[in-house]
Amino acid sequence: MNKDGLSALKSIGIALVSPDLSASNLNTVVGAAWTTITYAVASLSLAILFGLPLGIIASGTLVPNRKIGLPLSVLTRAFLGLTRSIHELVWALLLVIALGLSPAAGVIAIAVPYSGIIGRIFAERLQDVPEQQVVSLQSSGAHGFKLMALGRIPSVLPDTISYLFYRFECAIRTASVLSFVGLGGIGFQVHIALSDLRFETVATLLYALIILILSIDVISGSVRKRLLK
Amino acid sequence: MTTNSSEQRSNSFHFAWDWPSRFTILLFGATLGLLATSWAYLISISEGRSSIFSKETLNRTNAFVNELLGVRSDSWSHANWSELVGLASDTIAMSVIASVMAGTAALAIIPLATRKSSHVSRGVVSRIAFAMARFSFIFTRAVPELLWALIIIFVISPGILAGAVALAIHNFGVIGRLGADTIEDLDDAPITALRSSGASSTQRYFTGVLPLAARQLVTFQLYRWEVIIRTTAVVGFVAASGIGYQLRLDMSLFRYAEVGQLLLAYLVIVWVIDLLSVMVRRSIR
Repeated sequence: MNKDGLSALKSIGIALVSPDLSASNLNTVVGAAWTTITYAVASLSLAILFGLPLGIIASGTLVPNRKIGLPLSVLTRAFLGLTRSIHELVWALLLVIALGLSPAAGVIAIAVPYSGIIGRIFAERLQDVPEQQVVSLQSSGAHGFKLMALGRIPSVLPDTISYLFYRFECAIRTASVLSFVGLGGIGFQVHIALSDLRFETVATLLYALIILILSIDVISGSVRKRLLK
Repeated sequence: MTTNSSEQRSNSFHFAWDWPSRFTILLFGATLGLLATSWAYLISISEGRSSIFSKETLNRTNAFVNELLGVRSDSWSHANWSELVGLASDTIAMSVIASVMAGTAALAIIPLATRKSSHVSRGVVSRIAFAMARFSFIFTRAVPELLWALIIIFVISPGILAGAVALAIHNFGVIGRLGADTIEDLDDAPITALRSSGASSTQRYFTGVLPLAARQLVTFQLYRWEVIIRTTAVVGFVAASGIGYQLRLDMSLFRYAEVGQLLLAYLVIVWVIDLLSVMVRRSIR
């Protein structure tokens, strides 16, 4: 326990019920939230771009020849596993040193492990497609890419889309703490406000984050309902 | 046009093509708009910073990776491995404390976070409890571990405990939400049977809901432990303990060979825990 721990806890509690809602502060909060959203969107789009094709290869369902398909799938899995093992912010620390302090480092840092996770989940889903769903397509002459595009992918699409919404939620959270490597966003403003002991401002920022996460939850729920209909 | 239709006929697949609904168009448009504006914004704030596709960046990356792997320095050879083990055990301790705290707290709140009449009575009190429980989940879940850590160190001095509490708060929300959704999706019949034989809602929870959901809850807990162990390194930045703290220290002192070692230790821990977790999950399946 800190020396002033209890009094700090008390002022944090008070701040949570009385967030700073002045116009100038709301302006800062909205700006910070927007920066966080852009990082999340950009990095997730990169992660989808790389993750889904890698997932298809890792699933081993594309190449019927097992001599080529199996090693390719094992190698891809190992690669996806390595990207996933290192936390986004550790990637960010490394990339900021390698690439310099630019938004690109932050975007790539989130995109790398997220490609790994999206790839793995997509690969597992593709493997779990029941065989009888693709057998009829196969017997009518589809194979390789056609079988993938018309058989397996459509049957895993609804699940994958709702998973990607969940990933977007995670990306928002991760993007909000990119301030730890010196990039902007909600975390950056929390840092500044905490060092001035402005807990009311911190509370507003936290509520902004909650509103973002809740709205993704709501949109994802309604999309899911329509997809499963 | 004719060739096209004959091709379609010869092809035995048949597409049932409907016009996309207004909802789909709206969602698709919003996604594209968000993508375009996000990239445009990030590119606009990158201007004036050094390009990541330059010769200079390439050289710097090359030098950094070499040092990281210990190619150009000899510090890998006389590494302080015992210190590394100490840091690793701090990190593991933090993750275990965090998992246990988050799991216990979530287990205590989960029974309140359901509205199903087979599980709970539907009084005003239980409705208020439901709203509060769900709000506590969303509130703790929306804020990432690191922001919790920043706030927690005002209350608890930096150290293993502060880091564990920060990790626990966020994961309480995640496990709580997953767990509450699980018990909502349970098969009602056994629990309704308990109810009609006169079991109170507490008795129903312990003898019906919990045993039915137990396996799923353990799986979530293990899955979160895997996530927590990865995040522990990062929470260490703020909580001043374990591998994360040392990582940040070495990073700011440009001791990249040590950074490489720490990363290796980190990867080993992550892989061992993943393996353990997979083994436990297989055994309970």
